[in-house]
Amino acid sequence: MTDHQPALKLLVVEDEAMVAMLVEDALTLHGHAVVGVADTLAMAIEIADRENPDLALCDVKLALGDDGVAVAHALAERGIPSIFLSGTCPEAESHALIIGCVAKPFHNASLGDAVNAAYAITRGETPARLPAMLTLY
Amino acid sequence: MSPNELPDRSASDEPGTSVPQRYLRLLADVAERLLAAADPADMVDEIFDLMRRELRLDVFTNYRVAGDRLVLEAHGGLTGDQPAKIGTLAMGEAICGTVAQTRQIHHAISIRTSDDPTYAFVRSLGLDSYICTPLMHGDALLGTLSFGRRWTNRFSADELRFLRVACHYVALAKYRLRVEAALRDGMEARERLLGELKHRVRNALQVAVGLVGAEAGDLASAAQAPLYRAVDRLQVLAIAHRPLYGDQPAGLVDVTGLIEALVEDRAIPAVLAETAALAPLRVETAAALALLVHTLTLGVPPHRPVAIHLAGSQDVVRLRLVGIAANTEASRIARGLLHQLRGTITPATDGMILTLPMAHD
Repeated sequence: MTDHQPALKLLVVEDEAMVAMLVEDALTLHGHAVVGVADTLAMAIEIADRENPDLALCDVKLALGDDGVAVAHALAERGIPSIFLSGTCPEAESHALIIGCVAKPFHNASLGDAVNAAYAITRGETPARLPAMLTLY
Repeated sequence: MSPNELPDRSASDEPGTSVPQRYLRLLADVAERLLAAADPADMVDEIFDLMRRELRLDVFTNYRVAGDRLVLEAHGGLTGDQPAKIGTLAMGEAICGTVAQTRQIHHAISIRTSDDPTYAFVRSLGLDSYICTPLMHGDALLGTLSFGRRWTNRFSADELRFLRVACHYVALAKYRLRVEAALRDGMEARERLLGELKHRVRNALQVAVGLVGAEAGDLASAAQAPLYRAVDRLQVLAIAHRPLYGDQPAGLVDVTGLIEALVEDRAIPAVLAETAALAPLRVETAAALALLVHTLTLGVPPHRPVAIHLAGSQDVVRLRLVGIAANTEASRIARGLLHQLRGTITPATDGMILTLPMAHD
């Protein structure tokens, strides 16, 4: 793990298989563990309840017409923080556990920094590095 | 013939037709012109032409609001350098500027004998009565519309009522034209942006193909295969997105056209043996299908192409791939794409059948 960052359990919520694989690979390379990939609200909740991830990365547009914003809120209600990972970032979010958004296309190398920064913020810490690609709410 | 030379029209001109009836008919004509109008300035010109004979009008001016000033948009009965002198007005300046500021109708009477300084310009035109109306839509001031006469020192109560209604119609028509112009501008901007995005997407994919291809070219031949496979996949992706650049409904891709393009461009070693009328796919679904078919046909020699038979309905798409064995241990990419598509692969005697449910969201 670089910069002594903790290895996190992460949930990826993404409906496009190739993008999900790319995100999973990038996060794994950064030393994190992807505990599941979901592409619907129901699947995300099921994995979250089972795995209790430290953080979720949510696309906004999901399979079967589901909405990543609703997923982020459902996860937040369970105490699980999230960041969006989307081509169209929501402009604002009111829930304290919905930290921010990384706009696609993203840079693989910075994705780990964005995850670490978001996790630090949820713990009330100051991020060691706040990448420009992460827009905070 | 100048308005002054026109005969005064009164109820006695047309037996059986009262002044209010003529005003109603005139209002109907005004409304008809306003509904059909396409240009704000021409529209007011036409309305003035319609009304001036009935009301014996000599002059009109029409200002629109531009920031904190009024700009003369249309006028009639002015000559020489007179329009230039009143080309712009500050709020509160002269009669129209005052009307714009107060948003109240102003009826100026006996102008020639008045020493009111705000009447100076209309007095210089020889006018003796003048009415200026604010053009409002809701709380928004759009401009002013005014009419003047030399031959009498005031407008009658009926005339004032008529002009107030006509000006209200003009305000509505101007608002409509303004909204239409904003919509047109918005659509043009959207078209330009769309064109730029299409160009950028095409370019970015082409650059990606070039970058990966260049990296592959620098490697030893044994290490080139994965990168050339990546190049192939990027090209498959480009083919799936191609319909977006044309005139097809936004975001929808025809399945038969997609398979035909993949075959035609030799992106997959296949022939299209049977087509069917199928519901179009969303572009992300089409891209996943194209990548999946490409993945399933990896390793098939070009001289023994797979025969693809398309079938299905509005609810399901079936691709029978003849001449290829169903792989029971699908690759990670194939598994991911199958999950995304909610698809299933079943073995057939002569190949495999890929079944995809159609999402109707």
